[in-house]
Amino acid sequence: MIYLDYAATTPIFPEVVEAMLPYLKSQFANPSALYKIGVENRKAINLARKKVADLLGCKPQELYFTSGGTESNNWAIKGLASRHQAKTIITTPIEHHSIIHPCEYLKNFGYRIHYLHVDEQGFIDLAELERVLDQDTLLVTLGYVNNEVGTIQDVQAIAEICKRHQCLLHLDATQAVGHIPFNLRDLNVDLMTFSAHKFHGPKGVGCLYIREGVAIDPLMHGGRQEYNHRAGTENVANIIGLAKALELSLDRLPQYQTLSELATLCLQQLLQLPDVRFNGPKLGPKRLATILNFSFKGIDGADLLYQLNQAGIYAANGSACNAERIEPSHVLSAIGVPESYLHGSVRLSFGLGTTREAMIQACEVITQLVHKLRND
Amino acid sequence: MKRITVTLNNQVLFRGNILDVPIKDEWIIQKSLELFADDDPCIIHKSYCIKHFADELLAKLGTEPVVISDLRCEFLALPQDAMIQLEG
Repeated sequence: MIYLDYAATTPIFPEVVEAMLPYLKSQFANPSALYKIGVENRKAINLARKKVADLLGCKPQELYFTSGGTESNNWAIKGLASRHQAKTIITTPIEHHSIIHPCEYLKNFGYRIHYLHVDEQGFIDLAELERVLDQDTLLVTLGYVNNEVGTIQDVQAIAEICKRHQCLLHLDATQAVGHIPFNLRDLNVDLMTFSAHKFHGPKGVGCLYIREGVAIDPLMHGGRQEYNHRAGTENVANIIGLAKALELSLDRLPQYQTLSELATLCLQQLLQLPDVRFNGPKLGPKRLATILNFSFKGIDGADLLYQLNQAGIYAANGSACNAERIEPSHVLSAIGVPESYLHGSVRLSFGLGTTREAMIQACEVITQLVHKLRND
Repeated sequence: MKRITVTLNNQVLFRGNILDVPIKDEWIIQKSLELFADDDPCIIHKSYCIKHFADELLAKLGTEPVVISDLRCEFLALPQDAMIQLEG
């Protein structure tokens, strides 16, 4: 098996499983309980929160554990909409559906959604952002790293513009945390989403960072968990797993140099094919090197993925289904990938478990399959 | 993907991509249950099931026409006495 779908999810680190196991077995108590094993679990959650805060450069009380990226994004958008008067939300057409769909939902309640233009590499137009911000702007919500084409937005410039206009900035850092180094204190964002399973942690747990002083309504009402902001008995094992995975991922960030070399190798091989496009920014500081996206003219990406699957190579594309047909990736459409290439895309995303040999083999198989599918 | 032709009494019943060959809905649901435990698959999952059928069919086809009933491909929504072949 060659796994090239790290942007969808990452293999959980064995050390993370080990750290979680006691909380799935003997340490099962409800952390709200006021007896020894409950109190111990409360302490474990608080220590995990402090560890994550230390690693990201924020205060523990600014971190709220959630069920993952989708909940965090929904909470940020709907929670701010519920609390504040302003009615315009600014985002981009290349966001994850957990940003676009809550925004579209809010249109039903009189909100206006402004989609910033993106260029062919997926970067927003900073001048346009500056131009459209006004007193009716509720927030700017966008991704730090795009999950399909790896574009790394200039968050510091975006944050400066938002601050100048006294507008809230929510960053979906789901593909960034654990993959690129940054410190929340320097980043100057108001809210930030991340999810454990994107950095070798468990599925079903994430976080929303809410800068101290930002007023937001809860999405989940009930008990007083998470500083009375996110009701529901805490998923202790997953929270422990998130903190451990983040610690290990950041420890291993220096290994990303090797991964950049794998990206270069992949490009060298696949760009030899005729009629191929490399989507998104070129390799360098403005692109996450572990998310590569190619379009091959004259083939159907779904056929290529199926054949790769048959060969034991697991990759993805950004297609989505509606009732009757398979839609091409909304990200590739938005960055202007020509129609003749749009349906022939494949995303190869890789990580710490990917070897040079595996990458070479995958590229060889892709090359053969592209030739085969074009000749069929 | 390969193209196939299906004829009956010298009339072309189907000519096109093997992935577009008519397949009985009941078989798609059965395959979806087998693969996904889902009796109401979305279009992407349906398409994945159809690719499985196409692979199965492709393995049995050559460029010489054969009678569909000889292939024992019960998932095809085509007359059992029709002839099917890969386009050369």
